[in-house]
Amino acid sequence: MPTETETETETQIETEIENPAQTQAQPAPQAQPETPAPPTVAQPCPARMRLAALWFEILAGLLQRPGRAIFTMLGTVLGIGSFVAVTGISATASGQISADFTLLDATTVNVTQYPPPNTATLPFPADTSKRLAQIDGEVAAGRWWSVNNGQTVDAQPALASGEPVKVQAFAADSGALKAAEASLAGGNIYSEFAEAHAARVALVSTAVATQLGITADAVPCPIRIQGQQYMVTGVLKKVPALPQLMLGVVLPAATAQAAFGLPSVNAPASVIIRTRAGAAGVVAQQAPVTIRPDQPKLLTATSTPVPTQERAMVLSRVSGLVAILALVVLIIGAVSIANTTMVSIMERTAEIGLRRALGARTRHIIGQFLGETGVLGAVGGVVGTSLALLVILGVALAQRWTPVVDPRIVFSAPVIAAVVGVLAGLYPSIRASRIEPIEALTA
Amino acid sequence: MSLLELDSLVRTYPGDPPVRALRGINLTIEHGDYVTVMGPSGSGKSTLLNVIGLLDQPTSGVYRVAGTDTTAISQARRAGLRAAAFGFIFQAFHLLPFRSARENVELAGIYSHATARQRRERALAALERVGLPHKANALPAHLSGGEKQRVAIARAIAGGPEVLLCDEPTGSLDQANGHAIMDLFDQLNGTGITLVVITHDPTVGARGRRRFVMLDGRLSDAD
Repeated sequence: MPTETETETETQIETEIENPAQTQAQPAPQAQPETPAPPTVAQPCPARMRLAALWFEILAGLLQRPGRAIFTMLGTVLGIGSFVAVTGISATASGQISADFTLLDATTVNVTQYPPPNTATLPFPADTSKRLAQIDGEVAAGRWWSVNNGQTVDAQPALASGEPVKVQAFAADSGALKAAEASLAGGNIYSEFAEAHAARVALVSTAVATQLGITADAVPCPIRIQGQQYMVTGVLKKVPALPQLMLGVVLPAATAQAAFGLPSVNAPASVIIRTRAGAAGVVAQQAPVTIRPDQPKLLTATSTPVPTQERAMVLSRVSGLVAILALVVLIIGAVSIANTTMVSIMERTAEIGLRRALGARTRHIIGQFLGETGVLGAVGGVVGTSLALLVILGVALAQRWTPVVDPRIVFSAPVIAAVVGVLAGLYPSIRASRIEPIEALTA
Repeated sequence: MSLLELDSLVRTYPGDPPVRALRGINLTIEHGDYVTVMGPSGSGKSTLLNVIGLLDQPTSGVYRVAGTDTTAISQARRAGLRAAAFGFIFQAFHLLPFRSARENVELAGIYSHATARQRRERALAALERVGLPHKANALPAHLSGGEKQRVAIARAIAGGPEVLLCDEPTGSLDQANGHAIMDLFDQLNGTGITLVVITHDPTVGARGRRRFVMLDGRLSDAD
């Protein structure tokens, strides 16, 4: 007999599916002249099983005890279900956190002197905006502060007499206004030339413009601040990152310094930097040394603190714990599959003997029981995943969140469960295949 | 060439002391034979049947099926030969309890690559031959002992085996049912199926055309 064919067929653990090459290979070694067999006893070729028949036997084996099958897969349902639910809920929750946390917050960096100065000082040089422009990831930057020690100033229309309006006054580089994403109702932000020459120009907010009787289309027009004449070049409509600027008038830094002196202790200067998304951390790291290479330690840069990040971290730690718990439940599920299969094999000893008498090989017995445990695992996984999706949906609905689930997890979970089932069935199946048919049949 | 040839077959089970179940069996069985082997329990007749049916391997000696030395081929081929050549009938029937009569009979041929359709057709034909076509959809629990054994016989013949190996086929049946089963055996033997029946019941043993007695692992002619 051809031993090479035998070893080949003996070592494979997979079930033989139709294999024309193998069927055709059979007659050749059989054609030995001394064994002309009667046609009824087909020359001994290895016993083979159709895949469809194997599937039928697997499903029939499971369905003959449906209650037991359901309880057996409960561990897998819970293990896989809690795993998918935990990952889904944490993904949903962190998706929610990202939504709260706007791009404006994420791309803002503030630079201040720290510890705070104890005399009136301006620690940022005039070319701060230009210096910061060298950092990769920077979009716009500039200095700003509240002038006149934070106290209001008197403002009034240049040509009219009457009661002046009390307003806040600020100094801001045009870069700071760009960094604060300022938008105008009319006119323009003062020019670099005006800034460089400390020209008496100003911006007013829409509220102050109304109080002074200035309309957006009337700029440029003159006003008086603390008795001095200024030219209003633009009307601010919105300054999202520095909303306090909307309380009054804004002057170029050099102009403000000439008129009101250095920023006071009570209203120190700071630099606002707008960065590209995701670059805030890096820009904050480089900003102090870029602004003051001589004394970088004088300054401190902070990207806007995001309290929700902490929440996400806490949540991920909790979900890590629950994931470990889910793993433990999954292992318990595997043990329960293994245990029930052992019991089932003991009950079905006679069936195993009968199958051997009908021509089953050890691999057919292994295949059948591995198939049963694998299907139990897979079905448990599908049920568990479905229940988990319902739970995620329920949580999301209750919190008015958008449910977020990673499809890779959803589709791989049943596969993982099937693999767990097959692994759980390995030992019982091999035990089953080792049952001697003679002993099994005399039972 | 003979169908089955047993040449100085010895089967010893290891132990202390070793059990010598078969002590040199020489037996040749031809196509269409009706062989009965009688003997008390423990005489080795079950071992003989298992060795003939390739469920057990002899310790020494040669066993040929249709000229093939079964001790020299792989286990996979022995399983294939078992599925093709032999049908087993047991005292305990061994029907799967959750399957209908037809589904039980359809198990024949499952390991010899038959299609589901072939197996169904053969199962219905076999149930017809044992006279139970009307019980095809009955569960074993709803069948009498005699009917159960007929379903088991249908399962054994559905694959078209050369030889039926029967281990105490009437052991669980009353006399009337036992006789009916023996009549069925005569009928099957008449169609050319070779029968090997082991029993301790003399009336069953007497039905064979070649009768043997097994005692302490040795086979001798009954007549």
